[in-house]
Order: sequence, then structure tokens, then C-alpha cells
Amino acid sequence: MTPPLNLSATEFTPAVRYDASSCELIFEGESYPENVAAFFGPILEWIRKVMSESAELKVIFALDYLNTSSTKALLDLLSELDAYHLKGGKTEVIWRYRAGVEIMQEAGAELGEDLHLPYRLEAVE
Amino acid sequence: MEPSKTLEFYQLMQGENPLLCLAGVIRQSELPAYSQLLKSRVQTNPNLQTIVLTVFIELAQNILRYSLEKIDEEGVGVIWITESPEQYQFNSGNWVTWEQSERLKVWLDELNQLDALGLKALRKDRLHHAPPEGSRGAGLGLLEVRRRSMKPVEYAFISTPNKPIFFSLTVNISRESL
Repeated sequence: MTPPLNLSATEFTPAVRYDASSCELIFEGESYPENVAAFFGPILEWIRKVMSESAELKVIFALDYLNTSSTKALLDLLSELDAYHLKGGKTEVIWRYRAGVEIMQEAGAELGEDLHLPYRLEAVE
Repeated sequence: MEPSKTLEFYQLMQGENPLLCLAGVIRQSELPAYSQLLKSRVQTNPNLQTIVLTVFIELAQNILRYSLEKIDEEGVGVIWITESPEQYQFNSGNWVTWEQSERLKVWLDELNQLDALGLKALRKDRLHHAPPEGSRGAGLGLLEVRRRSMKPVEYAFISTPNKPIFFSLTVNISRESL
């Protein structure tokens, strides 16, 4: 049984919500916390628990802005998801960005560059 | 301070078309307020708005983390941003140790020698090999700032008697679509 996860957005961190019915974990908002590990650490632990149960996990990033420390944290998270995929885990990632914001499109494209799991960029109006 | 200093300060700033001018402690808790202000001043182009925000946050977080001068564990420094029809110019400054200044010089010179593709490759390498968050100084912030800059960044390390070294950085962001 996948544990619940529901974090409200703060001034520095995105909302993070898990929808058990669709197996979707969505990050929404901006990310530039002072202590990146304190924010992303527990989320990574949650993801590891989901993977240990061989559950399906679809991750959606819908971020308006992220700083370089957050980029590094997301890369670490994606690496673990990719390893899960390579071992047969059912997972995919969608990177949503506001149409026309090339810098966020580029951020998503670069994060997905070396991954094997299903990964797509999605422009939203 | 003498009242006439305010006029000097005003005239210095006014000639440059200031967008935002901060001097003193840079607090993480206050970054959202500055971000909000920058967003409202750069409304026309959401991509440019995000680029301006990116450069500002990286410069501000560099000061609050690494400035030698601290108030309540948060760094003290100066950031001023000016606008012209062609560009936004970011100026940041803070005190650093001699060792910091030596490391920064090497890093900024390396960044300045690279073109867009070289910067992208270096960023990827640093992201994959950067130490875990918490250990400081992977240099990703300045790398990101350099990537958004239309030309090599300008810097100076200014020695002053009986003081540490003042690190001053100037970055120009094109207002044209990048």
C-alpha cells in the first residue's frame, strides 16, 4: 500500500501531491529552498518506499522556476527512477512547462537527456 | 549620513535606470518578496521573466551563503539591477576571503572561455558529479548565471587595506529572445 504524500506549496517549495487512483505524483510551483536536502530528502525516501513495493509511479513536474540546487536534487531523484525502470519498474515522467518559457523547456530537456524511462515534455498554455 | 549623500546616491542610481537595488543582509526569507517585485517589473515576456528571476536568485543565494560578512548567519552584500532597452544588467558584490577569491577567479575564467555548448557540457558534468547538497560550492550557481549572460561576465577582486577582498560581478542579460 503506497503511503499518502501531500505537501502544500510554500514560498520556496512546490506543492507535492500523490494521487493514489492514478498513481501520479505531481510537483507544482517554484523550488528554491535554502536547504534542498531537507525538502527533497523525505520525498526521495517516499519514492524509494513506493519502488520497494514494485508499485507504479508516474511523476509530473509542473514547475515555474527552480534553482540550481533543486536541479541537482531532481537529477538525483530521476536517476533513482531510471534505475527502477531499468529493473522492470513501471514508471514514467512528464515535464510540464508554460508554453513560451524556453528556459524551463530547456531545463526539462536537459534533465531528461540520459534517461531510459519514458520521459516527455508537455507545453501548457 | 549627510542629507546631501542621498542626492548623490539618487543621481548615481538614476543615471543607470535601476530596477532593484539591495544593499545589506540578503535573507532567504525575503527572496520571494524581491522575486515578486521583479516579476511585476518584467511582465511582458514570461521567458525573460524566468531568466531574470534565475539570475537574481543565484546571485542572491551566493551572497547569503558565501559572503564573508554575515548577520544572523545570512550573508551581507549588494545587488543592483538596471535596465536599458537592450538588456538587464546585474551587479553583485560582497566580501570574500583571499582563498575564495583565488577559487572564484579560476572558475570565472574557465566559464568565460566557454561557448554555449561548452557551458552546457560543463553544467552536465558538474550536475552529475557535484557533491551531495549540503556540501557547498559546486559552482553551479555561477555556471547558470554565465549561461544566461549574453557575453563573458565581468568581475573584479578589489583589495583594500586591512580588509578582506571585495568580489564584484557584472552580468548582462539580453532583452531579446535568447
